Amino acid sequence: MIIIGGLGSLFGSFAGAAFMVLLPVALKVLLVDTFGWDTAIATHFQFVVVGLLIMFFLIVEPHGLARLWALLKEKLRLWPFPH
Amino acid sequence: MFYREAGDFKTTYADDNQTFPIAFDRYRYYFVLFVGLAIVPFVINDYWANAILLPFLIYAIAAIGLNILTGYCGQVSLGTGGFMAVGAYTSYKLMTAFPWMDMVTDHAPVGRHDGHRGRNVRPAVPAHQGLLPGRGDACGAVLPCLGLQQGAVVLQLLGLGPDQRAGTLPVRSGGDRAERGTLGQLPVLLRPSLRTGLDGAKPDARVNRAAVDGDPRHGHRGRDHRGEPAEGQTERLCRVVFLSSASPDRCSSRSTSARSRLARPSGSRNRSSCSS
Repeated sequence: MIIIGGLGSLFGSFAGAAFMVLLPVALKVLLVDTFGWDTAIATHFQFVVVGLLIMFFLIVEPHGLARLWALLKEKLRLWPFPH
Repeated sequence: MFYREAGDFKTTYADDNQTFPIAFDRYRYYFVLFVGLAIVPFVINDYWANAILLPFLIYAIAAIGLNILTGYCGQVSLGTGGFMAVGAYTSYKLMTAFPWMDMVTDHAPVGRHDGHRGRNVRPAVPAHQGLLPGRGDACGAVLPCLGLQQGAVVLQLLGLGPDQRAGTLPVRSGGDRAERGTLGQLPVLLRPSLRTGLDGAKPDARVNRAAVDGDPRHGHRGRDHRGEPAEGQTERLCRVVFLSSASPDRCSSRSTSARSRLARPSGSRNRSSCSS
């Protein structure tokens, strides 16, 4: 949770907790209800997704979702101007 | 919080110590609290309450505790899950053994739409408790923490507000980390124990006085010709902070200023340190 949400960030704790709670729901809706996957396969696929996300955030963005949220806010403050 | 609104001045001590120093954050917290207490219990169903909201709040509280220890301190926590399990089991036993302890949620004025008084307001209570420490980076969350300090187990109260950051915990490694390191940002409200040391020895007032006023034997106000604290001065300051830790050699002159603030007696706060 804290790796995905963001190390050293209080907002990251909430974001990581919300992500870990909502991810199984989203995967169930997407894979089982939409694509018709088996429930067991969808559950196992959830572990794969979480592992890949942990590796992704550790390599690409160690500050996690909190940093991505801050970057998004900074971009939106200047949008549509580039500078 | 990393920003301050222009013109938002603090004119009283109460304003300076308030939990939400920025009016916008304060109103936003009131709004979220109003939604959590007065709106969510009437519109949420059992699935969203038990499968989404409650696990989210429980995980958020657990993540905050682990994030403070791992994200801020950089330490590996092996007991966070254990403490949370003990707390959950204690709550379960208290709720079953003493049902009247549930009066906070049972007698809540909202959440009575389905005949079960207060049942749906229960997620709002941990929501409020979870939002209080998670209201932003300027939070004044006070969380107990057991830690090792100079070979003894002490109970530390960690506050993450910038006001409390004035009293920083001296880290064991020298250099800049004492001033901008992760552990250095964590204040310790048991600073008297750090000052007096675990052996009960009080800091030498003469040493503190020499650290503030300077020693004529070590140049002007404790500095040498390069403007750095004199050699003996640095050693003395470190000894004041670490006391019986017997590690003054780990201190560098760059980290002396932060540590001298710790060692400075309360009556001399307005004095300028020789190393600042």
